[in-house]
Amino acid sequence: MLFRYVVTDLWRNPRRTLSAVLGVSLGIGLFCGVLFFVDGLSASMTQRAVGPLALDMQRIVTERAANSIVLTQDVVGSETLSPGERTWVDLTVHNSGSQNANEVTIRSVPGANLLFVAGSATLDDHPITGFDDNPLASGLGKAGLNLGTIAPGATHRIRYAVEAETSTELDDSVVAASYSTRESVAPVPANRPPSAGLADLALRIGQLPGVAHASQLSLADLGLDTLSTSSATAFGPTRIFGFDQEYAGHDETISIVEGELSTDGAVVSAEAAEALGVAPGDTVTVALPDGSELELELTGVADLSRSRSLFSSRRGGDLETFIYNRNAVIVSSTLFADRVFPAFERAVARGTGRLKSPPIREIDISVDRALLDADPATAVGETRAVAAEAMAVAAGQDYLLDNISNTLTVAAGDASTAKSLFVFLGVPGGFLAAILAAYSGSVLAHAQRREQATLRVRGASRRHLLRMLAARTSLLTAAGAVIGLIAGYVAASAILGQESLARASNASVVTSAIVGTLGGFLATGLALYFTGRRSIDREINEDRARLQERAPLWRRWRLDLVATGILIVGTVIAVSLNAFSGQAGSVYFGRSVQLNLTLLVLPLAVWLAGSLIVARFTSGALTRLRPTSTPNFGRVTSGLVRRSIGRRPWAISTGAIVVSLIVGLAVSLAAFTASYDAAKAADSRYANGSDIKITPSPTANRSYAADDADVFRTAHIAEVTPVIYGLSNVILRSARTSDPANVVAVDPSGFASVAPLDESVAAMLTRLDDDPSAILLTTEMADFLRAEVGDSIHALLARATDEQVRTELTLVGLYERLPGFPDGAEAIMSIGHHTEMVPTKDPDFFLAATGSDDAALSRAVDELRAGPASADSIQIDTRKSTLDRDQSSLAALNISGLVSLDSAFALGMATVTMVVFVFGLLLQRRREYVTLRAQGLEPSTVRSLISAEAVLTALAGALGGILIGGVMGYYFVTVLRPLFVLDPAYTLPPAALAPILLLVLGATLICSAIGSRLVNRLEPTELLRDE
Amino acid sequence: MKPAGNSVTARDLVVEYPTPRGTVHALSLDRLEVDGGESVAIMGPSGCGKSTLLGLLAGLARPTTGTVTIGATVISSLQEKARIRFRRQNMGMVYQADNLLPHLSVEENVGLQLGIARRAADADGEVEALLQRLGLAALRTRLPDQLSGGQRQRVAVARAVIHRPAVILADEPTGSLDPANAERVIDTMIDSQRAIGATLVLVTHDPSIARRADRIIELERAILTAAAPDAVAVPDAV
Repeated sequence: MLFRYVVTDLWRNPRRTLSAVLGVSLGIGLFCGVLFFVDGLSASMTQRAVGPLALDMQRIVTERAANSIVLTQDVVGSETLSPGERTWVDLTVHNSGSQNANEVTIRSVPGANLLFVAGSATLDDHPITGFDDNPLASGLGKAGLNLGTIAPGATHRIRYAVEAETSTELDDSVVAASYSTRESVAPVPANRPPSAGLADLALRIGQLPGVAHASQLSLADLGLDTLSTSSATAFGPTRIFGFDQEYAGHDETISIVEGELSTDGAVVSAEAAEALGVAPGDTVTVALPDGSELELELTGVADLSRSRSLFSSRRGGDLETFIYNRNAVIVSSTLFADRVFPAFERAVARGTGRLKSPPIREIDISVDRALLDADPATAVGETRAVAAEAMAVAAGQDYLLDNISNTLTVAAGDASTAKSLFVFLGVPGGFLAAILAAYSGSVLAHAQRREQATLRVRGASRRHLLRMLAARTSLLTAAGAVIGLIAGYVAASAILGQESLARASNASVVTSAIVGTLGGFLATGLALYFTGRRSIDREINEDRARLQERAPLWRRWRLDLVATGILIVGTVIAVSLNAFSGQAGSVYFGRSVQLNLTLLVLPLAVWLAGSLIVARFTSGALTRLRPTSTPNFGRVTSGLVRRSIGRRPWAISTGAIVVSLIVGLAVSLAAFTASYDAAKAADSRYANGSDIKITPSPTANRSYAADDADVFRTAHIAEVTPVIYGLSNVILRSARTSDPANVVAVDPSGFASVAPLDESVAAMLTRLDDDPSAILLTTEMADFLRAEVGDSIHALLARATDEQVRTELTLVGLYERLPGFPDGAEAIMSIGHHTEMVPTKDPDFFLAATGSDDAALSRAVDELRAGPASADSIQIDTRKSTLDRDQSSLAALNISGLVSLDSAFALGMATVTMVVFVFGLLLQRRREYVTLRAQGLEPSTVRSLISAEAVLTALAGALGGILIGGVMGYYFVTVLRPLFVLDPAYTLPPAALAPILLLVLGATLICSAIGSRLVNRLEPTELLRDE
Repeated sequence: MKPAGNSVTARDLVVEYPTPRGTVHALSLDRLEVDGGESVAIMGPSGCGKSTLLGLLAGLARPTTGTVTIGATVISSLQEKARIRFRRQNMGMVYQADNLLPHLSVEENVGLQLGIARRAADADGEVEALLQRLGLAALRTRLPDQLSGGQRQRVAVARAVIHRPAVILADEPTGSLDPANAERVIDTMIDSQRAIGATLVLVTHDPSIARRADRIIELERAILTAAAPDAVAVPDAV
């Protein structure tokens, strides 16, 4: 019966019902939308994180050149040794190679429960003397026994006894034996399984589930000037690679521009081919470290200048550095194994040659990325499982560089941070839903006071009214939750794209749906219910009397001042503890962004405290308009407006709270997004060096000299400047020491106009302009060289080429870092002087500036592609493509999307708020308006009353919201500072504020107009129907 | 738009409302005539059309057929804006509920009506004099919520007469009051009506209140049982 009454009531009051349902729907929709958004975004993080990764996993085969020793260990017996019982440990050392093994040292340490029996050790059946303890682990350092040189094919046997201290079950693990040699200093455990060949290893790993492909790669650095023809030499160091077509086929950065890979021939880099003046069919000679030479037919020319898989550093702690070598030779894996590797073995065994690094042999493993879970936290478990499987194949002879798991570990941390961040940004949505529901509820409750009084007169008890309220609340909230759920999904899907959302796991989407709907249902339901209950619990007459003077609860409890106090104290504590600094993320260090998410409470405090303060000031200002009582009413319309708003400020100030909360959220997110986008753009521009980086390929048809910069000038490129740069391309020498350095040669004024330099570097560049023979050094390099400003620095330009030349420069300034050189730039000199000294050296790349406009950047790229890049092989990198390559998963955050989502819902909610406000006025003041009309007031006057209050509410809320949003956005940027490389500049975009203000005011005017039409329909005769 | 005289005449009034379940006949009245300055009480059972009739006489609504004439003005023929102007200047209404604006003081509620009726008129003297005369001067700065029910209704009477209307229409003005307060309110109303020479049409259920009018008219089930003044039984007419 009661339920039917409630349903009928809701049905017959469609405006009331619709306003309440819309408010609840929008709030829940925003909350659900944010959760779905997080799901969709997380689903792209795995792919985003692993996208730029050149090598997923590298299984490095540790079998070194000349490492042909085989150590076998046998613990005699398989039973359990009782305390005091003894057994023998047999060790056999055999050189299975073709070269001497030098300084062969055997180490063997009995386990914790076994004691070495003194004097029991023998070598080839002869007692080992001269040791008080275990000769195979003697002294404090447990040094092993040095057997000296072992000739090829030679074998030695070592035996010693151990005695059990406690009951010990015998197996191979009770004794740990290993060997090392001069050629292979890292200890190798005994009983290492026979070495699997690279080809076999690659085949077996490639068949593992989860592995897309596995291919063998061998590489070695040869000495200077080791690649030549009969008439020319490629000056400088040469790197030789051994891989097959299968490897090249999986790596698109290996570009065979002419000819092909072959079993017996060689492919050389384009730069080497140019230096040697060779083409396929010619013969090249590679000098190997043992003094032998490889005569190879050239079968192809390759552009390897962007191949990170071949030139990424293999040194631990430096894995991201791209160390390009212009002189490169590629031979087949078989040829490398048969000719190159043995040459290194021989060189090592003889102790001849200067080998800084031995050959590296590895299996490069590509994980099947399509199979990886969308969530990095789950994906990292999957890649680790693949890594374990890969290591289990012929285990014990090597180690694995699990780049993909390291990357995903960082991404998982970033994803977790992103989720927390987004939830924080989404929490206001849920809160707004509750506020809006409470606001609708309070308006609804006021409107129903009379009806409830009638029901009471007719015998309805408090219990009846509460049950009706519960039923009404449940129906409204349930309808709102369902609509909100759908709206949230549709909105997230529209912004992210259906594909992104579809990638998210069903479990996470279902969880979000349940959390969003249930959370929203409870928050809005409780807000609606308790507002209504409070109204029921008031006696109507008492309520009427209090309505005039009584301030709202927040004002009576001074919640605005309390919240402001908390905000100030929290900020002071955070500043004094330096809590805003956080820690930036780094894939290099395997570290995700460290955000102090507790600090996100501060912007939320700004939001709440600010809105309440806005309401306090609004009501205070309106109260000042309150005229004193006078029998001369004056002008009717203005007199009514002034008296109404001056004596009833709480309706406006309460509405202003809701509007300012909504507008504040929208503005803060707009400010945060603008700052975030600007900072990320600045970060990527800094990394790229300028807006565009133009790199002529080694296979370009023509050379591009410094004077050719104008070739790249287009309508949307304001400035182009040439840059000479290389890793360790110059030797710098001071009066005390010298060191190879990455030196940049630029046109000082041109570089200053295109690169995002800080002021100190820009000022120093002018000194290069003034003095072409000047040089700038990093502080670190100057410290190393022990050089000071004013000192002379000798530079060997174009080092390791046939054109290397010495020049004397003057140190004129020190700097910390330079944009555009991720691998470091330790010195800057004038390109004019460089070209004068080395006329044939062309710029390595050109930097071009287009301005901050993305459209101009796109057009400039199009113009380059249609112009110089259409006729030649030119690589174009932009600040946008650099941003896309950012390995940090946080770079994948679609903050703009989130803001679009938030803004759309916020503006919807602002509209609903004004609808609720205007219709609330109509509901609450219907009798006033009807009386005024019966007294002879025109509808236009009543319309003015409604519009004036609505516009005041909207204006106070919107202006206050903009102010609050500005401060809140500043807090967001400050708290989230660790997300950025450069310090983000706070930006409050006026263009984003105008639509918000216009939309809120527009919605207000539209609602007022609709409200006025409704007022026109009010019949004054209803005053006569009180009987 | 001042009427020539303040008699109230209604002829052949029919009020019908179309509803989904058919036409509802709210009122059917052949003839009603009230002389200028006369006070008339209309009585009848609930649903007989008393309030509907009052709405027609006040110009708040228009009949389906028939005419309502105040003095020489046929207000049932006036367009909406003209009726509002006429009502603003010539009608004073008192309802069962006081319908005072809650945010206006007593003198402002009264002064507002004067302001509506005579735009930009200086109301100081008139409002104060009226409140003084009606014994409400001490309450003039109070808000309606700070008054008793009887006080509020007396303020409502003051609001209805401040602009010296031609006709005062009262719909159960004492319906929510105890007998003592009801007596004071009706005294105030009758005194005021006579003071300004207005015509009073009073709808009431209370015979003791009705007896205070010059004549009593009985309405029955949407049909006026006595259409002409001479045909009406006027018990204890004053």
